[in-house]
Amino acid sequence: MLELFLLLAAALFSVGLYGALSQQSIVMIMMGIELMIAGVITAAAALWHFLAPAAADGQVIVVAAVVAMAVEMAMGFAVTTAVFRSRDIDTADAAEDLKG
Amino acid sequence: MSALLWLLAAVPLTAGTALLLTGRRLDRPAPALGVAAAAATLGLAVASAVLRPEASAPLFAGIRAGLRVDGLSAVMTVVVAAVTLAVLVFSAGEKDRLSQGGRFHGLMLLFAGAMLITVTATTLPLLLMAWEVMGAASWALIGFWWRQPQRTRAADTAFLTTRTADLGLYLAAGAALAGGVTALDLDALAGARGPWVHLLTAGVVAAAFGKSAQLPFSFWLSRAMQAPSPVSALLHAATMAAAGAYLLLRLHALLEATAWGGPLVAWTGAATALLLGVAAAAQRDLKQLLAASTCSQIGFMVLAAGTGGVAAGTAQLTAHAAVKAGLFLAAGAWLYALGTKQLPALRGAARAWQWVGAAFTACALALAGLPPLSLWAAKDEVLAAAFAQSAALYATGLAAAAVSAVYSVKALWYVLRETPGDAWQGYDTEESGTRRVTPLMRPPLLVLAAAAVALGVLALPGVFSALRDAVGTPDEPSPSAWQLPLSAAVALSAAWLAWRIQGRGPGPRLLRPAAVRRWAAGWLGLEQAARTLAVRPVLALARATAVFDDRVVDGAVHRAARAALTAAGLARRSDDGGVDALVRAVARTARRLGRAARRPQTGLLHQYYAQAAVGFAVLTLLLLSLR
Repeated sequence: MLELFLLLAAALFSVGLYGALSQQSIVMIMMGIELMIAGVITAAAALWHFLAPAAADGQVIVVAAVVAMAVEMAMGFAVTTAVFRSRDIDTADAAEDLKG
Repeated sequence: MSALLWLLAAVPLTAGTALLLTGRRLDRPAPALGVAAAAATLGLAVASAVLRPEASAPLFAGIRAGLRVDGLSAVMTVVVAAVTLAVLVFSAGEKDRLSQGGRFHGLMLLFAGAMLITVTATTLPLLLMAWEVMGAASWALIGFWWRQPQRTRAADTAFLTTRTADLGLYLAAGAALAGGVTALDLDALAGARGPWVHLLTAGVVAAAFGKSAQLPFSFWLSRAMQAPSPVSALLHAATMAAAGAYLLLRLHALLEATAWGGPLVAWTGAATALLLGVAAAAQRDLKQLLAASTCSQIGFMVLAAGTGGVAAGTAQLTAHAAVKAGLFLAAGAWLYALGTKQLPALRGAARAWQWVGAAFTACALALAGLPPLSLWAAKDEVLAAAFAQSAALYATGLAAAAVSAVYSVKALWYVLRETPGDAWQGYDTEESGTRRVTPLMRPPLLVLAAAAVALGVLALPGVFSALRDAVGTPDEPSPSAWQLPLSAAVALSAAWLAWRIQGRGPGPRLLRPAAVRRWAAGWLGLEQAARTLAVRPVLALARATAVFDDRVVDGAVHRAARAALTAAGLARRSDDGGVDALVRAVARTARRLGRAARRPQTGLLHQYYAQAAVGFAVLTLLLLSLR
């Protein structure tokens, strides 16, 4: 069963990575990132459940990842909204202020 | 009391300096101011001769600047002040020739003031200072008409000659300090220890010979004839030339401290008296004749100093001052009137201006040593002192006395003749004459002539013994009963002979053969000798040292500079190629690395993701391969 979950997690992560790399819209990129984190969470939960169900550490990692994802979403959308309001842009390629 | 003495020095010096400093503003009243200052100085000199004041002030550590009027100084101060007054009155009569009166009278007063300090100083440094001021003033006065180059050259010759001899006084001061005379008191110089006293004597004698134009320095006095006549009168009678004789008279004790001092001085004086007398007899220029006769007459003073005849020398100095000032002023009066001082051109001059002629005649007869005039009396005292030392000195002196009769009569013969019809052809050869003698020129001439005659009283035993007591040498020898008539006879016969030979027309000459005459007329070739023996070697040495300086000293400096430049170039190259290049390479590399590091930072989010993905992939592969 673990292999199936790990395959699911890898699929989620790959789809997310593809989305983050291929999408122009900031919102879509963030959705890709959500998928990647979702893959990580799935893998972590599966590993905990099948390999070390007695220890609580795995659960904590999953909860911490979920919290990080939520915070990231909140911050990400706030930034996206602010960028759109100030510059009227919604694609990542239009914001290249950090060019070296 | 001491205020009187300071005043005596200060009046001429202050007045002279003030006249010099005011530039040309005071040219018009300068003669009057100068005469007033000279008259005040004469009053102060007479007062100090009577009161004998003494003064002193600190000068250096342990050395004081002392002034004192003793017997010798009393005579000297009065002589200097009186001659200065006479000369300045005469100069006032010549003021159109001496148009820059402020400068002229200022320098004359400075000259006389320096001489007054010289004759009253009791310590060597003060005497030396005054001595130097006198030398500088003589330079400025001989070259008074400085627009004419021959006059400034003459001033340079006179200054350099006397100045070279003056170095002797510095040597003497050093020797005195080394010899234990730490206060440099003139009276104590004879007490210098050990070998130093020889050096001290040599220095003093050299300085005195240079200043008073004794052999071998006599030639500068010939060049000094480029000076205005009043300057010549003052310089010969009472200041410059007399200063050397005064110094030897003042320091006669020093001459006795060494075995050679007295004889050397005495014989040099006698030789100068004789040889420069011969030179005087050969001159055709009146002022040159008088200049050579000054050397000769001062030779007698030097002879007196060398034989211990201080009073005799003082008497000779006093009588000579009156005589020579009178003669020079008379020559100056004719030069002013006729524009010439050549004897053939001056024929009849004494008849044309009878007062001048009378004064000149009286002074020339005194110079000839004819009895009962002043120089006859004084010279006999000198000869008596010489006789006490050696008969040979006496004989030389007597021969010199005969020669002085010859040259005096030669000059006199020319000016007393009838004026020839073509006399005007010789006029105005040296300057443009005015054909007149101003009234102010007369009184000084007459006073000096009267003094030249009246000082014959020195022949009276009582008068001379008073002078001996005054100068502090009461046991000086007196002329014995046969010496006075002998010298009188010698002078009279020499004068008669000279008159006869001159009277025979232009053919027969006083000096024969012609080579001797030329040698004597050229002042014994002394200047040529000095040029050959002193000037040329010094100049050659100077040139050689200049070359040495240029090649070696300068060369070393230049080479050092060049080497430093080369070294600096090398250092720059190593700095540019090494240190700087390294620094620049570091900067270049850092810049290149910076550019390379900036390249992945595109600001494009996707590329960051791609980079991160590649990075993680690599890490993962690394991790897997390492397991």
